Amino acid sequence: MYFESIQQLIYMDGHGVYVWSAFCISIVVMVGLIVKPLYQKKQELKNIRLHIRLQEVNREAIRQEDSNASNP
Amino acid sequence: MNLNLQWTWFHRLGSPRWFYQKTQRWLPWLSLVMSVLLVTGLVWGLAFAPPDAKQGNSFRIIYVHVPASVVALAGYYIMAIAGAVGLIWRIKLAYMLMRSAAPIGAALTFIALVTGAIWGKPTWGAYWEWDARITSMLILLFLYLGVMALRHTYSSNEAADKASAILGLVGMVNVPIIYKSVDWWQTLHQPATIKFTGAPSMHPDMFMPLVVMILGFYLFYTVSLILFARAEILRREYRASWVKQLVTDNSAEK
Repeated sequence: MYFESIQQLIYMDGHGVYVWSAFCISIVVMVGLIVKPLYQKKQELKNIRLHIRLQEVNREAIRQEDSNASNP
Repeated sequence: MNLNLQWTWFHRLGSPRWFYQKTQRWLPWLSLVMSVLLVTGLVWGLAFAPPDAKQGNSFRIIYVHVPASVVALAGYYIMAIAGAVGLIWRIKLAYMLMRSAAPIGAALTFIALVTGAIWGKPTWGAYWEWDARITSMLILLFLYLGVMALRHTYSSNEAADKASAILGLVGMVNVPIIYKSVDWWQTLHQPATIKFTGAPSMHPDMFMPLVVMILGFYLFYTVSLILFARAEILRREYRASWVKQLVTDNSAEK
């Protein structure tokens, strides 16, 4: 390692504030670029499941109506 | 007949289903290589590389600033070319990739600008300067945001895709301007560290971690693009039978 201690690594001769804040902001943004699409995908799967359920319920309702109409 | 056979790969490549299924298998490997590169580059650049003779330790910001900038610029070409492919061949997947590339490019441009500003303070004494490189980079951010915003201005996906693709192509003029800005104008921004021709203006001990970080950022871009595209595919193809099959299979497993 270039630095002699962890304190020196954090302080970086006074430049630590700049270096560490630049890296922290970047890491937060990049984590967001991985987490956001994963969350979006989860939401889409939920929507599709709901869509399929609604279609099934609709089909069932139509079938019931038809059978009611044929046997009054 | 022969011609048809040659073009099948092209159409398969344009199939959202093919993309969704293939990337499922690629993602773990890509993520693994990405993590190894990013962690190695980060530790190497932050703790092991020697400090710059003039700038001291503040130069370590280069290990996130340059990779983010390089990939933000390359990502613009990827977005614009995907848009052009969508316009010319009407391939749905190309538009989905264009849509997915926009937020990643915007975020990376944001990183480049913010880390550049932070680096500017100890080096130039100012966070912001209206110099050619910084201003053209800010325009890049607005172009990315424009492509993102155009999605919501049309009621149909198709019209929004076409408008975004055209904006993307027109904005491509800006990219060579950014590359050349440090040579064409007197700027505060330092000249390019890495050149296509000639040796880099850096000692190998400082240069190697930068190469690792750039490769890591390219892989990060790929992984993020795939993840955004997969969400976009589900959003647009929810009526497709293979998507329904996928969802019912998934729920059966749970």
